[in-house]
Amino acid sequence: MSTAIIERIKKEIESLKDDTTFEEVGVVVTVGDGVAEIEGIRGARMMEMVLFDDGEGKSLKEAMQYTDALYGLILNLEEETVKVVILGDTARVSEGMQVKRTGKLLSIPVGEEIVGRVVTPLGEVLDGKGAFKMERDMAIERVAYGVMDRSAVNEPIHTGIKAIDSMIPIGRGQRELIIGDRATGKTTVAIDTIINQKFEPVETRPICIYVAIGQKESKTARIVRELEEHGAMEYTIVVSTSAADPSPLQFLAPFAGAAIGEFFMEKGKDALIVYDDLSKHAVAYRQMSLLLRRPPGREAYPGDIFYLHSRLLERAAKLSKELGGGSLTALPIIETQEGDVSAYIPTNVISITDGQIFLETDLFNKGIRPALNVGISVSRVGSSAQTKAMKKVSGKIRIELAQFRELEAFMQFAGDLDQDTKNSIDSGRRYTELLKQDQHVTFPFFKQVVSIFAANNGLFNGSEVANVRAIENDFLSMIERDKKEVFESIESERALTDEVASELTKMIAEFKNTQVHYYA
Amino acid sequence: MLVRDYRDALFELIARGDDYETTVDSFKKLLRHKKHTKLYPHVMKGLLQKCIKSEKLNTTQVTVGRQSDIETLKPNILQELSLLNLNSEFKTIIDPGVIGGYKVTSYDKVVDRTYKKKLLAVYRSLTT
Repeated sequence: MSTAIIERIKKEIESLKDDTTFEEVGVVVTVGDGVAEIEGIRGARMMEMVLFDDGEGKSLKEAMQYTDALYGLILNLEEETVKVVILGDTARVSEGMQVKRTGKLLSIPVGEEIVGRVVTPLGEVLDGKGAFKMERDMAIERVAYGVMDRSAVNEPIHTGIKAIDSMIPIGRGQRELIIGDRATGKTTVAIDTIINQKFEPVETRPICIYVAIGQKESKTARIVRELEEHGAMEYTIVVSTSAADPSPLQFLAPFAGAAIGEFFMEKGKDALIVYDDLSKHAVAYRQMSLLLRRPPGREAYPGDIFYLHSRLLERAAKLSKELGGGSLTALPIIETQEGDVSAYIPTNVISITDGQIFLETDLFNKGIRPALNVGISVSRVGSSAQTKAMKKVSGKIRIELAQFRELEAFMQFAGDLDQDTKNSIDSGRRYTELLKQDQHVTFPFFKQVVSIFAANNGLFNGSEVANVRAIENDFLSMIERDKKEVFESIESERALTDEVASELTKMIAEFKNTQVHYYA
Repeated sequence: MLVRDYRDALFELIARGDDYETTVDSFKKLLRHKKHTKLYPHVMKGLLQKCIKSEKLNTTQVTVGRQSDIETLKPNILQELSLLNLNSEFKTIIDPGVIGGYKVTSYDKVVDRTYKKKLLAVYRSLTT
């Protein structure tokens, strides 16, 4: 037997000091569907963890069949009994089993080493890379920071998606909802945002947390692989509950993710959390509440379904300088059915968040990807969360696209339109083409600024719409090759100076002279 | 609610010393009269649980691995009983599964000093 294991056993035995306190116990009266009713635990508290003594009445060898302890979470305090959701294998619990109070509220162990790992909501690792060093136990349920502890949201978090960063900018500490039907690219927008953080300097790069709630394990595995391929797992944590996990674990997943985010936020760092998705979270909570015999309300959801999401999303914040200035930005995802954003859960979450990004199936099918409807998408933080450079260039694109949307209805009468209208329509089409991006191909903000500036200053005028992205690609490559200091200037100063603007104008003219094959 | 009320009423009557058979017969008649006969199994089950609970409240159990452990560990056991403000009289249960040590159980409190608990804790902390 190795020395390391012997030392570990010695440490464990030394830690087995007898304390003089007794343990409060109860007895399982009924168990079924992941819920156990327990009698006898006096002084039980809401959200307190209890420990099922599944070794009672068994020999040591039989008790060692399970390597982990079985915990439950008290969620209903009733007159004579408490109802507990079982956080594990329900088959291990039987009627008459003894249950002990732990006296602790549910918490998750967190440390710096959790970055890059895939964990469950209880902090157990899933990626097979061994345990991580725990620094702190973060309570899964916490009261959000108050008004006086927060500061204004004024720093941008760049998604790398031109349509979002230019017209629906997201700030650090904001909650921006991503909403749309199935297969419209909601998760892709969130993952691209995570991948784009690799362009941020390490000092200001946010720690990213992806919370998979009731997702297919194949999807979560694919996402982890994609993040690894793009080098994003170095700064990302994945909290995973699959569709096969019991509903209490799915219910806890986003709160566990928020607790991890708060750990980094309280250290003065920035964090970004994606909840994928809160529709499944609501369904899991409904299932759990019905099993706990809580009275059902509209669409069988419990009466506190709004509070479930509001208290979760309120934990995203930008803290004041006195508290370290850290932030937690939330990107919740909601899946709609047939574009119905007026349904119960979508309207709840829309009213909580600081803006929405609408993704539409029609746009997706037309090839406009990301399938953002910029007309109805909004960020309530707005240009406060934009760099000066982006603010300068994004005004025109917004106006052009707004005009284009109004004129779209007239496009079928193209033969009857005046030249100005035709020019507006052509311009709108080019901007729409410019805003298309391939999956997992993100643009750092300085490239976005240059790209939009070029569009505003006629780079695409005279070219076919189909050539827009090729022109953009070649133009950016030209600047990367010949005038890299333009990118460096915008990146470092975060502003578009007059010198840089004039340099870019010259580059546009030069490009148009040399790449005549793009222009008719 | 009704089941609980019936159960509590029956329990009170039996606890104060009324004849069990007579009480239960009267209760059955009442249920037939009120057409609540379907509640009878639930009430009886609840009554059984309440009686067991009542007995546990008044009884302290001490579990040891061997008969001889009772005498060896008696000073420790009596100390635990006084800490829990319990009567020094207790019911002994011999369970070789606990291996060694003792466990004192009252209705809702337990002091577990068995070797089995400690060994299981060491095993789980080393394997997780």
